[in-house]
Amino acid sequence: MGLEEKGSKPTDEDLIERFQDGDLYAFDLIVKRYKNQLMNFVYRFLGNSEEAEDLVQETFLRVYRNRRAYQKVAKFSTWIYTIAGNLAKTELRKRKRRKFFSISDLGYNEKDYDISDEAYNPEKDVDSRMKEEIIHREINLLSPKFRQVILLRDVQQLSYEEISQIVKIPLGTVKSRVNRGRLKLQEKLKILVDR
Amino acid sequence: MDNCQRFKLLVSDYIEGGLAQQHKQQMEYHFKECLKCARTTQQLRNLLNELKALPKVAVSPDFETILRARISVESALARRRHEGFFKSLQFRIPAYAISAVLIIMGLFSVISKFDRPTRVAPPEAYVNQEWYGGFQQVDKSSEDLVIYILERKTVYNVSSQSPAQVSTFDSREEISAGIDSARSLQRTNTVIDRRENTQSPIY
Ligand SMILES: [Zn+2]
Repeated sequence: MGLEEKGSKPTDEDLIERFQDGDLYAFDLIVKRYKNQLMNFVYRFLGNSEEAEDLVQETFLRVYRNRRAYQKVAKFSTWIYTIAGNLAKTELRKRKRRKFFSISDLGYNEKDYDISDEAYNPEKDVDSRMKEEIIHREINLLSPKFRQVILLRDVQQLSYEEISQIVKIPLGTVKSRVNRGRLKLQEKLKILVDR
Repeated sequence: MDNCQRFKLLVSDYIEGGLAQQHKQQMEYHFKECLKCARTTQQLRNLLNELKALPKVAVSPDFETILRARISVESALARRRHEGFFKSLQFRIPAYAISAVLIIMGLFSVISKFDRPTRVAPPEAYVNQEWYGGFQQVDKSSEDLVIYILERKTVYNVSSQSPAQVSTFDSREEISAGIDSARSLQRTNTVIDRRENTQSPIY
């Protein structure tokens, strides 16, 4: 988060309201606040960083264009995650139609794997990096329905209530879907996570 | 429903502390007689820790520059269309470079309130390529116009405002220009290449 946000930090809702009133700097703060967390979410969703970055761009363009559509009854975070999630799901459907979905699109591609500076550590042992790649790949093998809620809950650490609003399904359904998704992953990764 | 199936339904609630005391005790009692479920629980806990600890992926350094360019083009197009200036944007490919730089300089003034990046160097991997990034944008109102925005590796030295002085980025060199020159860097650094869709040209 930027320096300009120290002190009494404006909420996301303050910022979008200011933006709706024509304050472009507020939009800029929104971009700074969300660009990396959305990138992380979309990258894990699509498995490819170039496509992910493009899609995060598109998400912000839509926020810019459709700023009037945001209404204060909803949390801003759930609104922007809904946009990004829908774009990602559309992208997956397009891929399927184009029969684009080859093994190399599953995110097991070394050069696609650019992690941020603070996360990158050359000393990190090979085992743990391989482990990360295997987990990344297994997430990408989940069906989009499970992948989305697992990413939102267990990677992005959002609350069940937020996820319910983003995915637009009842709270109980979110919980059971997350639970089933975790069991699917655990089944695939049991050797890796057994210790 | 047997106890193992019941376990599967409730295990996330159990791990996240969402179970009533009575159900929690039933789960723990089940673990004593069923090693498989006890082990699955431990594996799930480990899995959740691994997922939480996955490295965070970040956008590339020029993300905001490109976003601003896309927004400014979109706003400017909307404005020009509105004012009936749209046709004046017309230019041909061989001459596009110079016109484009002039136009993009105009476009950036549209969003003067945007912030000032201090570093616009391309990522290391792109240094030896002529173009280091780009994207296209379809004009929504007339789908037969596609705008390409490409970012060059080389940029003009802006303090002199003279395109004759061309400097090349060294990717390791931090460019810490002042507010105005940083903004100018973006301007001259961005080129619009406009092409029409051959199916139904609007001109
Ligand atoms: Zn059992």
